[in-house]
Amino acid sequence: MVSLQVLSVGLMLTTISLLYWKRIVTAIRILALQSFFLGFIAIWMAARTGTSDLYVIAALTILVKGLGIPWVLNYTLKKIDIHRETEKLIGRELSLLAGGALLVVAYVTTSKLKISGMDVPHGVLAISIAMLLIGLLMMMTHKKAIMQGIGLVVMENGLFLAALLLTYGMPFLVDIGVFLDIFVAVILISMLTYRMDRVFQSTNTDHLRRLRG
Amino acid sequence: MFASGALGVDVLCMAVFLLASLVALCWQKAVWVGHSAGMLASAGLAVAGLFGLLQPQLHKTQAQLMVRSSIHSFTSIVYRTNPLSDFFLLLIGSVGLLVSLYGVGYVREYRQEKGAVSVSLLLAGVLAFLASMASVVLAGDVFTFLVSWESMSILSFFLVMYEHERSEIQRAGFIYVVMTHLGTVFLTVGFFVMAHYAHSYQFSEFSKLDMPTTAKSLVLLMMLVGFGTKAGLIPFHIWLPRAHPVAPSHVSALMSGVMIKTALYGFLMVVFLFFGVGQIPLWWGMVVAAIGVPSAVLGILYALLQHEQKRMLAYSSIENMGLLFMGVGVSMLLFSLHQPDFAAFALLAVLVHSLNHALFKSLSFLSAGSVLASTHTQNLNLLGGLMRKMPWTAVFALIAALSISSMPPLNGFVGEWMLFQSFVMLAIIRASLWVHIVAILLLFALTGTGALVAMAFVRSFGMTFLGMPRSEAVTNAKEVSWTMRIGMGALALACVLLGVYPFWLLRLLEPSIRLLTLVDPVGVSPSIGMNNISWLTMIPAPIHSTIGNFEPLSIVLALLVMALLSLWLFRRYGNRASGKKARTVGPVWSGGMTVDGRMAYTASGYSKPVRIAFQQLFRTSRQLSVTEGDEHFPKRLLYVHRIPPFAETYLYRPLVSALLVAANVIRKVQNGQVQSYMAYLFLTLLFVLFLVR
Repeated sequence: MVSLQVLSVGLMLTTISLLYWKRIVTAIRILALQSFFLGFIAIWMAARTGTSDLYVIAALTILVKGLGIPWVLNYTLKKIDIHRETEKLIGRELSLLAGGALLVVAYVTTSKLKISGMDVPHGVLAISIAMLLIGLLMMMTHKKAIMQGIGLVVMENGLFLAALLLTYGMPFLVDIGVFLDIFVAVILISMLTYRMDRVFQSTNTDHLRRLRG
Repeated sequence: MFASGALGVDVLCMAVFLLASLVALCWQKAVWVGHSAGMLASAGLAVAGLFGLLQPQLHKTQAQLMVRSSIHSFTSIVYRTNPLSDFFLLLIGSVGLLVSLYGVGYVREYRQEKGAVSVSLLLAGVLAFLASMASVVLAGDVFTFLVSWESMSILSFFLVMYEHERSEIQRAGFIYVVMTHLGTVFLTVGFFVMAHYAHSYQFSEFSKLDMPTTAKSLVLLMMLVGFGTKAGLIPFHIWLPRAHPVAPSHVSALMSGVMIKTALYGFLMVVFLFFGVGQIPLWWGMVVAAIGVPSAVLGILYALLQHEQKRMLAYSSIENMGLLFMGVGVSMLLFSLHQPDFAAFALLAVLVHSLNHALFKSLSFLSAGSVLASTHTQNLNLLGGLMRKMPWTAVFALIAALSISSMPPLNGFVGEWMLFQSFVMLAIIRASLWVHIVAILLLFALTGTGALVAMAFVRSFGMTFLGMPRSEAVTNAKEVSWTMRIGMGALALACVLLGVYPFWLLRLLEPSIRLLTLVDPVGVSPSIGMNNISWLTMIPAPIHSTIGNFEPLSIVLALLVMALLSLWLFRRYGNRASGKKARTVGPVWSGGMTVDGRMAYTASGYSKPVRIAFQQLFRTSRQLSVTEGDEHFPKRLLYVHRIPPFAETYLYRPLVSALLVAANVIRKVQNGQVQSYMAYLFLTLLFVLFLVR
């Protein structure tokens, strides 16, 4: 149980720190670290419940999210080779504050939930919700398309954690499908980032405002 | 699949319409097949309806024709007949027959102008339109009714758009299709609410409807909007004066004479058959009558100011639908005041007037169409003196005009007299003060409308057929072909016959009234019982009195005697001053000048007093400008007066602009920025999270 708490605190810290870092490369590294933590939680869960499916899932988490996605993102970053720093709509301090507020929201909303059959501390569930919200916050506040990809992966990690805690992982096929989805999404985002860079000489999503009523 | 004889004939006729429509569509040489099949099927519908009314006991065996297309009861096609639908079938069939006959000649002009393909398209459209109207009144469940209703609307939209090259017609068609769909939305919702309470989509189950009064009231209001849109009640009328005049004239006749009556059918069906006459709240009748009043009064006021004959007739249709709904409202009021016999009489008046209106209004449209075909203009200010060129059309138009103005020996008088009687009944029965006040106001509206109608049709007939020609359009006019004259003549004959001998119609309507009101018109009450009066004398006033009774035959006799007397007097004494047999034919005395068409009273001039009297209402904008010569010695003047359409100005335009403003506000939400879309997601997520908590 202690290791679960340590790992989940690690997840929370990585998520919060994603709001702070300025360099995209660092953010990608943090994301990889976060995915490793998540993979370890999955292994812990597998050992605790004795489900062999979860070992496969854990391995996939580490492979796809810990290694594959960061590699794709790094590769894209190398290809476009400019503006290594993030651009945000709000400042770092404000986004840290917002992240803290979201954490509070997550704790408040989950504290009253009565979920039968969950034998892990409530705080971990709160962290998963907080990850989801902060991932969305990242997607909202960042201007660069690649950071939105990172936000998406954070959100997915939060969902994955919630599923792991509540139902010991989703059905195996669903999990595989989700992995495929997220991987494809990241590849698409990378490709789009590359295209955007070629067209606009920038990956700022402000340029994508023509489609409106 | 079970069908009694009459229903079988009805469905067969609809099939013939559709088949003939297909034949006309695919095989352009076979226009005559389409024409004759259309007339045959219309006659079949009329005969089947007549038969159903004469043999009402046949309906006791719940004849239903059912085509189940799937296991879902919602998508089955169900037809049934009852005396109410029989009456409307008779109306559709008889007017459809004569209009089809007229159409044979009328479409010839389009053949020269637009080619054979387009004529067969028009024919196919008219045939399918007739089928869809029959299908509306025969429909036996919600699905069939709504599908028929929508096909009727869409087919009539296509017919309105027949001369689609002209931009004002495109605009008219657009407004029509928008309004009719709005109406159908209300109808659909209303029918579904009823189906919810009836636990069935079958109309036969609807009659045992068990609904709370609030739900009924809501449905009633929806029906009033939905059917009121089709009926052209003010303020839902804006499509009608645009769409009816621009369709080919025989289609206008069908739309104004028949199609808007299907709205009356639907409304009567919902109120009297589904809701029942047992407990009608007082305010329902007030609302229905109150929506009829502005339609009648404003309808005829605007009709009086129109320059185009068909547009004027369209406004007059609004006025007549207003009268009919006033009648329905009075009938409902009398039911809620526990006077079922009088209420039945009021409803009888409504049905009688609706058939009469179908006859004289389609006759008016057909004669206007003849004038249009022959002179290529329907601007009253450019016509005049057509009586010499087109004597037959003039006679038919005169009969139509007299009938609309409810002159006694013609059918228009019968319906309006009965309506008047029922309003009087409402005024004199024992009820609260407010009911009396409403009744008096309704009587004011009815009589005022009657006077204005007479003025409008004196103007329309006089400006078209009397006086001197005001433009070259008239000098080249010639009488229309014999098929058109037969179509109009038969309608005119029907107007005269039903005016002189209305008992036949009243007897025929007994089963419909019995179905709707559960009042047996024969013998239940001495006041409206029709078997205790002699067939040849009179329609009794519903209240015992000697002055209210109406004896059409004696009126005819009196008129004949007076006409002969005056003719004799004229012969005997008229020429004495200038000596016997000394008749000179010459121009009208003109004080030494040559009389010119331009000197004649114009249509605008004739209706000017009304325009001045109601200028607060019309808010006419006038403009006088000198186009030639200088300010003090003008040679040519241009006088423009424009009457803003009130419903558009005061209701629809503010509504539309408010909608646009709201749309602009909402549009800010979609700003194209990915991040803000995510913020919406985010906020929604937070909101849901707090909801869960």
